Amino acid sequence: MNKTCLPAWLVLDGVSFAYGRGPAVNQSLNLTLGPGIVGLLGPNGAGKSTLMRMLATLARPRSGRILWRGTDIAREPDALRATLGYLPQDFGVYPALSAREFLTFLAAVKGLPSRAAAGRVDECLAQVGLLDVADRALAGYSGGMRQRVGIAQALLNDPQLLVVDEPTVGLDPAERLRFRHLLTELADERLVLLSTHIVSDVEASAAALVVLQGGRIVFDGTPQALVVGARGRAWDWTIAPAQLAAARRNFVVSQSMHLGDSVQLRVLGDRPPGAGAVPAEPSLEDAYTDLLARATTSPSDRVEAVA
Amino acid sequence: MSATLPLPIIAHGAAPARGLAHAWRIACALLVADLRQRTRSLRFWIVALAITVAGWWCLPPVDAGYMIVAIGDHHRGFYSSAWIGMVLAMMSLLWGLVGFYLVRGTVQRDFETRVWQLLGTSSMRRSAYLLAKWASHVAVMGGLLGATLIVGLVAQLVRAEDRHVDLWELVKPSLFIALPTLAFSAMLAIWFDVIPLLRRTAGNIAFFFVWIALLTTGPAGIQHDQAARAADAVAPIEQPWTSDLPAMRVMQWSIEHQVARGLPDKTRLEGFCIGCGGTTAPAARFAWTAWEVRGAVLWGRMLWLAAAIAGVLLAVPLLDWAAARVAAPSAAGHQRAPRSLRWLRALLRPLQGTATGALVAAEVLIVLRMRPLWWWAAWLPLWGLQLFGPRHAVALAMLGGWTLLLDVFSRTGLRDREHRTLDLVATAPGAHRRLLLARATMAIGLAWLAVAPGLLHESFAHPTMTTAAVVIAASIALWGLASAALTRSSRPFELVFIVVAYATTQGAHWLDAGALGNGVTLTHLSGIALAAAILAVSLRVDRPGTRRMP
Repeated sequence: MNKTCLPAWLVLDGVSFAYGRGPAVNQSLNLTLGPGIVGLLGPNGAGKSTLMRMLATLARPRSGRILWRGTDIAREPDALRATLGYLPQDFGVYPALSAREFLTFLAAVKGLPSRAAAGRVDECLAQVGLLDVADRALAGYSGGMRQRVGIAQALLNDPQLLVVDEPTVGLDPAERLRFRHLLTELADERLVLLSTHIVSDVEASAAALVVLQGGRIVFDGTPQALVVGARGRAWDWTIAPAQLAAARRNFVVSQSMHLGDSVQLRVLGDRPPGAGAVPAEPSLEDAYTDLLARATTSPSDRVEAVA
Repeated sequence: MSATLPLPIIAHGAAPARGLAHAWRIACALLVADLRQRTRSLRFWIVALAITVAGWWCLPPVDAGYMIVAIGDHHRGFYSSAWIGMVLAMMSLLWGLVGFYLVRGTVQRDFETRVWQLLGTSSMRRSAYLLAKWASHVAVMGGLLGATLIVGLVAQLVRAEDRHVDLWELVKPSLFIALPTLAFSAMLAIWFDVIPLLRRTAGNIAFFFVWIALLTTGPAGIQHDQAARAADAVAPIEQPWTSDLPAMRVMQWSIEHQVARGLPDKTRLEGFCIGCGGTTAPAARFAWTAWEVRGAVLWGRMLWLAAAIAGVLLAVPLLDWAAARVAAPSAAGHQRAPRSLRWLRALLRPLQGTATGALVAAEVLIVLRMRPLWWWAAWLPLWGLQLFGPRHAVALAMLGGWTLLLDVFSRTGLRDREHRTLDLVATAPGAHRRLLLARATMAIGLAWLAVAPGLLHESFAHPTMTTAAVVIAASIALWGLASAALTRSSRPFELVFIVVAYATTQGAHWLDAGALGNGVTLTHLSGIALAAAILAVSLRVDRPGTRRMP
């Protein structure tokens, strides 16, 4: 993502990764990122979490370089770590400690001066709405509350690079909304990398978008650009329920809704799927589904006869 | 728009498979999966290598200067297939101990990784599940025993004392002496996973004493036979068909009737030792080409196998109850509520002034808050003995204090893995160095605190004892961390500690602060240096960002 108007904070230069001698999980990734929220989308197994772990200095690229403000983080991980906030997809806590104690502990681990740590811990707890229950043992926290503790710990050192991997998993709708607002607030002077497979999370908060599939970058641009690219390829099509299976088999169906004696489909493709199909304005989810479908299947593979 | 499409129904109308064949298929699938999971870890192969090397050491040449299995003072059989098989089978009482620590934990792992939720909601029978786990334990231990038998065969050819290979005689003692012992140990491994209290360090300590208790039934049976013989002046004509778990009574009978009867001085061959150690004279050898054993004895040994299976089945009704009591450190809704320990927080407040102090304080709270009441109560008699007991009792109470802290020493270095906080801490600059310093400080501090009354008591009367206790405490704390860094498991340190502590109570000086002289202190000073070196290397090797695997 080349943002000529923004400084290049994070540069991926031909980055590849593989576990042991296995096949490559990420292949020749090239990216240039500046401040703002960047959404990282991709289906399961696309290599999102591996990329996140490399960016969080937990895994080293097999080849290529990751530069944070010009410094290769594989050679000098501490250059990034001092200013990194990382929320892993899966993490645990010490149940014997309260949220405040746990964050104080992590503040010390991150090397925050002890005088500043207490105040910063309270700020972070307030940001995630846990200040009222900060002295309760983590053993009694719900999954959503633990996730908020994870977000709070990522903010402790006021990071310039915030890497959040599937942050809204386990959050209820209200918490998810709060998290989206929080991300937007945080994005002013930071680079926030938001990895998710929930398109609406990206739609709500990301100014830029990277789509991974099969370990490769298949899109790098703004969400609007992705939507624009799908214009003219989305169709609303109402069919009988009996035709549904064939429609799903033969077309890329991004959405469907049962309407009693008929089913309304959102179909993606170059041409109308059949009689009665009308052009529609694609959503980001439609555009994303279309992009993945085009990346995996050539149009000639599909048969166009249903009705 | 929402997708509300009907799901296709697969195998419509087909009833779920039931019956013995189905249970057998499930058990086999579980067994295979379990074995795959185990054998794909490096730790398994390291232990396997260590056991095969140990198997080689059990068969020293005649002038090696040591013996592992000896009859009387320094007698042994020529290295025939039968004698080598017997030696390796006799070692099963050790393999059963080590094997327990190797195999235990798979049922617990299923609970903690929530794989049980997938298995428990299937049509699988609980009995099939536990029997498969037990069979997997036996297969692992049996496989290692098989590896030692191959080593034994090689040793027979290399030592060249009797090159006639008789595979049945080689395997027979392992089948009828070792296998039932290992099967019983495997059954206990299931129980120690099922009972929540025994799942972690407490279970690892408890098993050692259970095993020692089981082993004592052997000498007790032998003494009973000898007493009966002395009373009647006639040896029993028939080999006894019942036996203790490690079959010491059976072996004693065989030795007396196969070897001693042919020699003029029978008293020289009375009794046998396992793990004998150094000898001053070369081994005196006798011919042992076959193990003469009655069929009834072999059936008697199979009773232990049946007891092991019955023991496994007895655990079946407890399985769901046990699964509901998941004690995974990172699990939601974790065990009991932690104690607030306000007094401790107040005591630790001065440490909060610095980042390192805050870390140490947090470490202390983490390890002490989840302690049950009995743990706190246990310190009263231990500290009372240290304050008011005689020198020997003070040393024993010190050992007791370190034993109470054993899980702190063995698990502190593993906490981030066990609690899944590794990714949170590893992305901070210099985190490993900072945490290691804090954890070493906490562990050493607690090890000293555990013996503080004893130190106070002995500081004037026996200053060398005070010095020894201080050094031993630091050595134990650092070796706990070093062992965790080396093995990524708490069990090796726990096993070594408990064996060494037990040996100390039996007269060895390894952890005896009250031992005369400076030998123990100097040994532990060397140990501290070595442990510190291991930890320093681990900082470099295990540095975050150098790991390729997440």
